[in-house]
Amino acid sequence: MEVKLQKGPLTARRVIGISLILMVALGAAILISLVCGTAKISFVDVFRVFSDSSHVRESTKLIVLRIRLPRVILAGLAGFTLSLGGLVFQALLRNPLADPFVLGVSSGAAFGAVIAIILGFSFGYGVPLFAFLGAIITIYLVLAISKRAMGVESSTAILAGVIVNAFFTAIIMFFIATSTEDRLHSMLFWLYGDLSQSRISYSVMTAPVAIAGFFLLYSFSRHLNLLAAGEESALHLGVNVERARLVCFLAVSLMVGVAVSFTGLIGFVGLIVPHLARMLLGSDNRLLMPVSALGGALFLIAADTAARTVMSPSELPVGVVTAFLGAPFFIYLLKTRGSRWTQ
Amino acid sequence: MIQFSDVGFQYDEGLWALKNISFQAGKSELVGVLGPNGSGKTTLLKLGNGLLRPRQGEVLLEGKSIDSYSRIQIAREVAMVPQQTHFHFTFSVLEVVLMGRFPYLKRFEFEGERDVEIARRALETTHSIEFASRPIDELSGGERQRVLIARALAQEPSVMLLDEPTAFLDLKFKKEIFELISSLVRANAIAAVVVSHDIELAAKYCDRIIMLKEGEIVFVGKPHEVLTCESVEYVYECSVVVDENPVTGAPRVSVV
Amino acid sequence: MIWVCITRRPFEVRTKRPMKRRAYLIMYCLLPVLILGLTSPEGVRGETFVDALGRRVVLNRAPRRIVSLAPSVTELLYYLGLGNRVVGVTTFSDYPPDAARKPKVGSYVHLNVERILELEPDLAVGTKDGNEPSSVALLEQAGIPVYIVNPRHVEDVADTLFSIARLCGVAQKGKRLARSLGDRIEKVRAQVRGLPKPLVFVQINLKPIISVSRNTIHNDVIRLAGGINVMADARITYPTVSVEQVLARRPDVIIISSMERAGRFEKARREWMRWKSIPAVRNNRVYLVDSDILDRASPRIIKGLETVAQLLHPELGKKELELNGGKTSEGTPYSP
Repeated sequence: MEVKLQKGPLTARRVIGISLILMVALGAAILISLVCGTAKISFVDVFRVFSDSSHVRESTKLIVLRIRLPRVILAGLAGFTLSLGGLVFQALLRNPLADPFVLGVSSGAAFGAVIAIILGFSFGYGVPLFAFLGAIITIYLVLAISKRAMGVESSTAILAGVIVNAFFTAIIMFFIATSTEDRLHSMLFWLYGDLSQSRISYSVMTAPVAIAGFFLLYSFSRHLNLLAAGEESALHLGVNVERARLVCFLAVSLMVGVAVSFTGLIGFVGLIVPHLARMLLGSDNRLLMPVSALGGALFLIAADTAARTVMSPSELPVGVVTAFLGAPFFIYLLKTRGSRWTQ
Repeated sequence: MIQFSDVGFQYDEGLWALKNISFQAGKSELVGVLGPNGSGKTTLLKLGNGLLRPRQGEVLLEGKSIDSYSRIQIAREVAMVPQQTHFHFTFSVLEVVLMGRFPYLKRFEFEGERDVEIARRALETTHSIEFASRPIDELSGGERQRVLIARALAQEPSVMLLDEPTAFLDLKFKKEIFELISSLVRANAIAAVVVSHDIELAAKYCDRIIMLKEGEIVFVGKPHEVLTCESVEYVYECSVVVDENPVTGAPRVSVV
Repeated sequence: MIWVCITRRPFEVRTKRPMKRRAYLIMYCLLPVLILGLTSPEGVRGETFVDALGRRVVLNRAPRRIVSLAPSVTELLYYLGLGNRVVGVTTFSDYPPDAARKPKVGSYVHLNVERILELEPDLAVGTKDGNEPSSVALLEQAGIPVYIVNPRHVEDVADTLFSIARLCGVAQKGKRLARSLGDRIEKVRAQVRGLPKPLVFVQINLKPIISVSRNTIHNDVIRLAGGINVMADARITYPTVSVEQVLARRPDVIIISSMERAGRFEKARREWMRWKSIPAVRNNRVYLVDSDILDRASPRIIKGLETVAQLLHPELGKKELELNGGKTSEGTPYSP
């Protein structure tokens, strides 16, 4: 596996240029997704819905604006968040296997959301808040378990994450197994991810968190670069490692918590996309952050579109699609990079 | 210049790792720190960097207590070259050296022309300019060490701390590194403290030698003065013979 | 009053054709009734219906394109002879066979709202259990009236049948069919009254063994059929149980409600046969009942009831409980 390197130093222009290209691609992806689905809707229909809605059937308008658009946007935001979170976790733990799913943060968030539902909150602010708390508690647990005198040992963190993941998933399964029927269905979706009940209000709540989180994390992008050589090295160069770690973990937890509370558990996004980005563009987080985030949005929009068209009128849970795409990629990574990860 | 004034350090409530440490390294001075493992050499460097705070006494940078400096300010003055660095993600050599500019850039700032210029100059000085766009993990030990020194230079420090910089290097590179350090120190008016196991090379290139045993300074002075049979035997607890290297004239230690 | 008009001589305007005037008056009074009767079926114009959740559903005319959001609802619609008005069903709506050929709109726990919207229905009928509230909300936003039913007990099926009938403008027929279902339930009740109540274990899943607690329709069937569900006190609605627990409760009858073909059922039955201490096993009273007639709140559950009653009380003999099924009075092919 070749890692491409820059000839000269990274410039703002390059970052912005590549980001713009990705944003255009994202726009195209959104457009294509609006056309795909169970109902037959063409590009022309979609244009008409947004421009001059008088010539369009009511059902078409509804399908595009109330079903597909909220869903596509939420998928984009979730992909954005999970991918960025994965990149940051990998940098913080210096381990390519880290992502919000693997470290258990997503399942902690899902657990928080499930508790909120049981306590009677519906999707207002109650559920995302509990999800955020769940995410925080999880990341705290994982870090506490894996902290050593010299900082966090990443392989222990991964293991701790696996255990925490299993723990929370088991609890969620417990609730599912013992719940009365009507609650059952709303909880099943936590295990596979489900974007079919998306509403615009979910995106409205998630977007500011995602964007603010991005800029906050971006302000630490160089710090994360320096961490690549080890925490001590970073300290020598002037990085306040404790603070960077704290702020970044909190920011990711908040973003992931909010996203997961609306979409359920979706894995592999934070694993695949940052890796692909790194393979293509090098390791500088100042470029990788926007690329991973936007790439993640693209990826999940595509996965969700596949999830709802491949077996129409049935739907695959989107987490299944990402797993289908993610697992082989993972195996490929293991084979090509092999033992480098054990260091 | 860096000064240790009666510094003492204790890890938790246990043993005192360092006691009554007082010495200084001034501009263009290369001070070598010798001693067996566990004598507190690494702790000394960490105190010099502000990573650890002394329990007793104080560390002074350019006459001011290191406590009055922020992390970033310290990084502008003091550069550390570790024994080895493992990069978990691949960066090019130039990118690594540019990391040394971290203390000078604002949060969202990208490196400017001056920064790149400084980095290039650092690479040139350390004879690593030809690897500028190669990935750091493709370099050999010696080459990598030179890059780390270049990174330290890019910090434009007034003090350099080097932790056994030749530990994992081949003979050929050991000499190279010491020569490099020595010339850098003189050319850039840096005060440098080098921790090493390489008694001979330290003796040859250092202006002064400090010998540590069990956390305390037992000998300090010019290499010729400090490195005697008795002192080496005392510090390292093994029988040696110390004579003069016939070619260079520097003290030569041989184990018997 | 007409009579007075005609016989009061002082006011009488002697016309040449008194009969004609009477005819006009009569027609005048009957006209509104005629208009109503001719233009729409019994009383559906702009009518508000209240569904099982207390929601108000307004229909402007009898629905012609109905989407069923659950298999039980599909059966109810077909039972009422409204099969030709059904334009979409959920994936497991497999009875009667004609229903299985209708366009699919997703599963009842995961509706494909796009497909439903494409079919442009004027009514959707769903159940409280299963259908996601957010999907229902989306349909309503689209202007599709959604009527939710919630039959929890066997008797509710008749009521549900009637309310759907009213909704769709076939109230008379619905009333008749509902009554006949009710009669059949009563009949079973009467037969089993006074008879000793056997202990019954209902198994709805083979591996792991899952039974039913009291809030289920299975429990209701057992109760009406004159039996006692041994797992009625379980806290979880569909508890997973171990063989030990079944052994402890010593049921007289084991009913396996499953869609499994004979092969797997035989295997399950042989599994039970190992535990001779269970009365049901000792007396060879382990039965398979098609789950479709036992867990769907559809007219076929009455057949389920009758079947179970017969299984629980063999002393009643087959003749007494001869299935009333076959044809409805209108000869529709749906045979419960």
